[in-house]
Amino acid sequence: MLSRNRWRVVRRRILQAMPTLAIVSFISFIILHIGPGDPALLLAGEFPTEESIAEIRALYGFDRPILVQYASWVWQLLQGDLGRSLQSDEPVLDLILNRLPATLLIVCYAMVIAFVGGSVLGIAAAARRGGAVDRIATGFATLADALPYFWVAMLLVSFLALDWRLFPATGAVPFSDDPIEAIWAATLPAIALSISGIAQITRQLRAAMIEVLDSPFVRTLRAKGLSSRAILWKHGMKNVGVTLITVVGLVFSGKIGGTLLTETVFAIPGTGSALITAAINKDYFVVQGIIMMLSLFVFAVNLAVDLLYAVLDPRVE
Amino acid sequence: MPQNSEKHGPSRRAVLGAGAAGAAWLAAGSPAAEAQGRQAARQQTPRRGGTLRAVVNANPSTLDPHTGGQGTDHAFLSTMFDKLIDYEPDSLAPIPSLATAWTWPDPRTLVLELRQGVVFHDGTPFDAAAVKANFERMLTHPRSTVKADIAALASVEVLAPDRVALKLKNPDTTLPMVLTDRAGYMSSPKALAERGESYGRNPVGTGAMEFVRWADGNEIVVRRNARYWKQGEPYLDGIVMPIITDATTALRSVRAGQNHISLQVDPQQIPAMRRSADVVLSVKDTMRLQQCYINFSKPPLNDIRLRQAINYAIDRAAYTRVVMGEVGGPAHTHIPPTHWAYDREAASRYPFDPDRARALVREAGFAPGALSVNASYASNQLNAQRIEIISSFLDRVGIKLTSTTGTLTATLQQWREGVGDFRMANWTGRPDPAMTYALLLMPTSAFNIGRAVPSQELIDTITESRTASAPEERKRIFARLLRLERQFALTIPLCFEPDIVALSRRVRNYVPNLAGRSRFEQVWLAG
Repeated sequence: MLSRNRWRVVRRRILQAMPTLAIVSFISFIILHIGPGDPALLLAGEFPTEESIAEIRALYGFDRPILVQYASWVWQLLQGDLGRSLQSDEPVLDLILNRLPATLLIVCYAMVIAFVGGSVLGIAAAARRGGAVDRIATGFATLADALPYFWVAMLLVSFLALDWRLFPATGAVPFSDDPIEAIWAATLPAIALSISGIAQITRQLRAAMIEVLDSPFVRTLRAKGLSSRAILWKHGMKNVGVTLITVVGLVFSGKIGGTLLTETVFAIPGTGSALITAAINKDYFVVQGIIMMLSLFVFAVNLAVDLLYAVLDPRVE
Repeated sequence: MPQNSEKHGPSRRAVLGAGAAGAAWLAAGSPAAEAQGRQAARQQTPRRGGTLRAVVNANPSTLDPHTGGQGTDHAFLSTMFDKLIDYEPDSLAPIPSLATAWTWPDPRTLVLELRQGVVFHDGTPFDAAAVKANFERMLTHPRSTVKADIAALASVEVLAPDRVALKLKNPDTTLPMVLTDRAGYMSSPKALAERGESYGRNPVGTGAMEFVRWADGNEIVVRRNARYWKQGEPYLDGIVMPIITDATTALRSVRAGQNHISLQVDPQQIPAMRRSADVVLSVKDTMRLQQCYINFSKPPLNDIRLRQAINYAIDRAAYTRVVMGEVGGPAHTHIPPTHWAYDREAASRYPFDPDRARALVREAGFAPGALSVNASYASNQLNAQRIEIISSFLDRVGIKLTSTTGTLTATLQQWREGVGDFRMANWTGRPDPAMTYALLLMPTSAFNIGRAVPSQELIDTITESRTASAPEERKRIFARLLRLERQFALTIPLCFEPDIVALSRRVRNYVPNLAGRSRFEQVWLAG
């Protein structure tokens, strides 16, 4: 249960998030509209005429001033209506809800891989500082951060899907249809997406753990005769918890908005690929809806991280 | 008056023959694929059952044929809808479909004889009233994208349950061919009335397959129409059409055995595909061409000599080799050599002649290097390469090329606002060539960006091409039209693009067509 104090934090954060979301929505709306390009041209058919373009503009209200269009969108939003896709006429909320599970699956899967991989490498590197394990872990972290993840994705598909046929090359299976198959199909995209996360967690955890292991209280513990293993797992882990939560939160926020290329390479019908298609086609309402959804996710992750700080370190309370 | 009826259409044997020819093409040089082609030709007894998985590269704009706007929509629509008139795959000659015959009792009336005993997937009978309801909706729906295609239509008269007359405001002999396109797809009037705005997500036609579901951006699923009017068809139990926007990813899915068909294969991938044991390629010439529109309403390209110079300056054969590799063919007009309206004289007007081009530039008053021309194009790797090639050809004749690039929508809007002297964009072709030239060159068309009148004689010839109905007369008019367009050098045709499709070795009877529109409803899967 959350204490009264923490409830106050949650309420304050939600109030703080409101203007942030409003600013994000306004900026994305304006950028999308003032950029060159006219969705009416794409909506007017394969062979548009001046008249059909003008009719489409009037029909969708593209001929109104931009601020009026924004106000109209906000008014709809306040009534719980995210609008409809200009391209497919599907309600934006349905579109997001249909596509979110595929994105969440690969992001959560990638986070599990990044968390486990990064934690193991980071702790091993810190425990054997300067040794072969440390050099391998830091070398991997540097390389993994530098590798473009879509290139890693291509390599994975080439070897593991096309040559060895271990995993499907493309596509996603809905988790609700078949959880095992869904996880199997999401493995390659999740690995590709997790690579940079492993690198970040490894680096941060290694640095934090080294700092802890070098601190005076650890010297005292050693002087008292505590084994290195006990120091590392009992006292070290407890003290790097906040760092770990921070970096995991950052990586998660980055991944939820960073699935665009992964989803395209693996043909996953998630929010990332929907955002790319919508942005190219100037499908305003879909872009706005997905950006709002991503902003809410980042906000929720940050809030969760803040609350977890207090759980891990009572001084934060 | 000219008349077309069922007996003029290809026989079932001819269609199967086209399938076998398709399979033989399909071979495209690889020994393994040739063996498959031969095997396909031998194995002509279609196998029933199975679900085809055919990847399409874009989510449809809508599944309502009359409000949709994307070329790729046809891959979905053709499985669920029949058109009033269909076309022969190689020549695009009109053949019967829902209309068994059509006649012109006078130049402003087209009478369609309708096939009897056909029902829509929801059980509604297909008849003259259904045809009338469809046309009235096409003319009045606020988001109709076919209104311009049937602009000549004044009214529809039901003459009998299986007979309907289309009354025109002015003679327009392109109408039968228009009915082989979007405007020809027939929807159930009952479903249109009941489903209203949601019809586009839940369509009802008379086609070989019935709509099952559309998971947006993911896949569209259709299943066999048990009451289909073509006896014995379709062969498949259903078709799943996964939507994969990235062509390379789509191709990988066929190589991995997940899907059977992948459209829009990049020509650069042909050598790699030929080495692959998992797929065969279908390569078929189409009417789709790479070309440039010219803004001939403003300097410098309002000067005919400069437009002619650019047309002389480009070595189309070399361009085609670089851009398309071993497939495709140089384009000298908008009509491919196999098309009935092709004119050899028009196509030979601009051979590669850099000396002539340089002389024309000088004659127009520009010293070498003094003329700068701006090209507009949508930013992507292929277009960038194409513009580089054109730039190098123009550079050789003393024309400097600058460019305006960005996203498709952005550059299109800039082009419409007058930015750029020519614009590189593909032309997808139209069923009737009169429509192509009217759209490209008439001052009323959005594609004639400066709204200039290129030549009154040319405009008159375009109008004439839409009023003549006898085939020989039309061919003569088109020869004149093509020569006039070339004389005034109003566009820059570059090369025809083939339709390249990757097929799993199980796919049979995939019949590509000159329109470049993939159709899956006749396909069957080998065991």
